[in-house]
Amino acid sequence: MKWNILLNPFERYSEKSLLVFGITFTLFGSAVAYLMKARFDGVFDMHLVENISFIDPFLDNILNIFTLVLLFVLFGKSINHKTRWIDILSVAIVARIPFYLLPLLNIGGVLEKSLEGLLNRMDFQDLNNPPAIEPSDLLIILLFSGVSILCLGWFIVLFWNGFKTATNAKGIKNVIFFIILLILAEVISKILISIFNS
Amino acid sequence: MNVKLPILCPSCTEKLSVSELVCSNCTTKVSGNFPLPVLLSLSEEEQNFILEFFLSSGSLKDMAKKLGNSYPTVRNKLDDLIEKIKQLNP
Repeated sequence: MKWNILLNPFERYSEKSLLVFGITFTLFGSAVAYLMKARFDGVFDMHLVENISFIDPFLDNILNIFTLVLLFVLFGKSINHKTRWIDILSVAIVARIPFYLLPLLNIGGVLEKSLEGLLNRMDFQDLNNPPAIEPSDLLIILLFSGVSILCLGWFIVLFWNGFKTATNAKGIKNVIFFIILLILAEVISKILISIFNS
Repeated sequence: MNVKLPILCPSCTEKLSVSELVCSNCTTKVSGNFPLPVLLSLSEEEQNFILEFFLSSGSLKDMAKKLGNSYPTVRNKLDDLIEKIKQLNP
């Protein structure tokens, strides 16, 4: 039952509760991203940057959610005309919550320092000889990679379960279209974010 | 004891039909071969869902609140049930 709440809250909770919960986490996640110098520059991206303004992570999240809602409302309506945009919106907002945990791995600039350490040791002229990496840096980078993969998996499971609940989608054909659209959403959101940043 | 009405044959899983009806007052029996009405061909859970839908005056929002589910979950159950009834009663 507890797992079900983590993986498919959409089956049980109303769109109002989901929206309140999701918006709260989005605001919290954006504020934390600003403090940790993280950008969400794609529907499933999180990168550390050197310079960031307070508005950047908020704008990133708005554009990511907008892209997901736009594409998946159209897809949802094509599967089931009874699909409501408010359900897709709550799914897009809640499913992105796992990504807001990632900037927390950079508390005290730990991740930033480890990545800088690795990049400083890299000799890009001689890529055949890998650099000697500090074990602590390696551990932090591996931990971040592991948590990132888990969060990406969690996002996909949440998003599919939510989309399935909102549209009553069934069958392998819809799963394939869902994956294609998710990749398309990543491309579109990246373009939109780069346009807004230029 | 809550006795369940069997709707499928326990031996070959084909749909069952009614062969005998009895008056509980005078014990008169009527024999024949009567097909089960569509609603009785559904599972107990599905019958309860339809009853709940009727008692909620067809409001899926009220039903969702009563059942502790989200609105799309209840709407999906209803859509699946409509599809099943269409297949049972072409």
